[in-house]
Amino acid sequence: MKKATLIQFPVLAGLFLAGLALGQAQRSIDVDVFDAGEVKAIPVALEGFTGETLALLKFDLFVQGFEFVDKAKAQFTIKGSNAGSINGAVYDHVKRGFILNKRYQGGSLRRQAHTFANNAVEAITGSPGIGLTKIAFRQFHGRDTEIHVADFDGHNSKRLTHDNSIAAGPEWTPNNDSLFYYSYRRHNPDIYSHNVHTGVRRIVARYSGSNISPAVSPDGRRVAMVLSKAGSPDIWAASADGTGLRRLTTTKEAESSPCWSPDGRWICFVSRAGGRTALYKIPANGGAMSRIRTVGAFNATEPDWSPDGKAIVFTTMRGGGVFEICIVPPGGGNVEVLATGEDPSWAPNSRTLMFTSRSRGKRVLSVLDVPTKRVKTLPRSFPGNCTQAAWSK
Amino acid sequence: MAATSAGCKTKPKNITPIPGGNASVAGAGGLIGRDTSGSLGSGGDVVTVDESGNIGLSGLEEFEDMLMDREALAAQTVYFEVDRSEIHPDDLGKVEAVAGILAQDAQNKVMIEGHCDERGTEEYNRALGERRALSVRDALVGLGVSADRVRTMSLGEDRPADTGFDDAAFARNRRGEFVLLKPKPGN
Repeated sequence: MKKATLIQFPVLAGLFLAGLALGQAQRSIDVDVFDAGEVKAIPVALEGFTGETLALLKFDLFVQGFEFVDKAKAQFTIKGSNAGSINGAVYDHVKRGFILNKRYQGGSLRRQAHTFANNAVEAITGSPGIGLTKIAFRQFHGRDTEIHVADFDGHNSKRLTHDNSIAAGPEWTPNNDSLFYYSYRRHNPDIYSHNVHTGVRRIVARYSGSNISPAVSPDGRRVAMVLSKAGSPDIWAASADGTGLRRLTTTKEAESSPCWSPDGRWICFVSRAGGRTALYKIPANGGAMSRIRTVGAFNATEPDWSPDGKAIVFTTMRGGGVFEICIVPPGGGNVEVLATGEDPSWAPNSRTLMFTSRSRGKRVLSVLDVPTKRVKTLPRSFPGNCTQAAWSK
Repeated sequence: MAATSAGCKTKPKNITPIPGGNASVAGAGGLIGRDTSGSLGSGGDVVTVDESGNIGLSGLEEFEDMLMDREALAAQTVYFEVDRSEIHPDDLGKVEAVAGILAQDAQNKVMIEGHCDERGTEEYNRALGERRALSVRDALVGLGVSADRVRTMSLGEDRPADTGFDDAAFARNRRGEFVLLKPKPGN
């Protein structure tokens, strides 16, 4: 009897712990961004990594919902080495076993480390990591601004445009081969598509007035944008090459910042048509515009629809130049305030956001993990103000 | 210039048919989308208006190769209330002055630049700046200036007149500037 009890107890304890682990894993897989701030970060211990690799892993893991603790309090230990190349493993303290153990070769050490971070995130949460994603953003060079592209943590930054004017509003195509943006290089804000691999740039819209704020549809075949050629800043849609132009809104007021629903059926945008600045949506093929209510946030601007379709993130202008990042369900409703800042862009994981924040009078890019509501400024800083980050798909 | 016939295929309410309405513009990087909205035209006093009262813009080619004179109309800069695009009644005299100067030489045209203070988000401000410039344009058209002599360009919050961070600076930045466009000598 005594022996049997001794055997049974660890079995029961093991089942209990397994259940706990399963529950936590499910929570991290199926996090609800509207539980922002209520989801606990996953406690992990980091062992063996040093210097640049350690800093990279900490940033990648932090912005995907992990926190760093002593081994005694850790649910997982992420260990390995970065001498020459990356070796990495993840030990599950609940299951008492390794759930990942890999060696990496080829590419740069940073790329190996981002790949290991992705593998660790996926092994623990079941969701793909964002370590190998890119960002495009607007960087100030004195009075001029140019489009830059970088790894999502700001490293390996490259300047894409040399227009010596105002280039702004970058957005990726779904295959991440090209950026759409607008530039004043020909003394008018005109929309271009620009292949980041070949450097080939094409005009998409150059009409009298504004040609701004392009957004590519999820299937890559269409572009929504703001044109004022009909006498007011309106939402227009066209094929990705600019042909087949169609005017979607016909208000007297200004519309701005179109974005697509992930199913490609709707375009969400900003309008003052109802007397105050608010979010609206309109069928992508034309139809009536309808208001998206943002209860608790006035002056909603800069919407971005999450890739999983569950939330629209936007900037509320509180007045006096104070901006806050908020989310609302796509059908409208109560707003959740996430952080101080502006112009948010979703990562492909639908949980992490990049946005513009202010640090000692300078505009910098910051990353927000929505479920844990924690913010980190990009580890790499730039000489000029940086705004309008667009996360690759 | 007198308008000839031809007209738009689609005919929204309140529209005066305009010749050459379906303009296409070729850019250096490739062909640009064809305008099928039935707006814009190159006729003289003909104006395209949609159901909301918006007046269509003329093609950019109408304004290319012109000299920009930023001084001639510098005194006529108009200013806007916070987050508004209506012309202040006190500024109507300036718009009338610009209309008067344009009436003196039919060859001249005008560009209106719309600007904002920095207390709006970037893309919102760029659209607001355009709306401001278009309001000034509407007023000029209302004073008899031909719509095809006026182009607009929003610079959003990118070119403040005053880089200060107080209400007085912001007020100076919420503005519409007039740039006189003159034909190049010999053209």
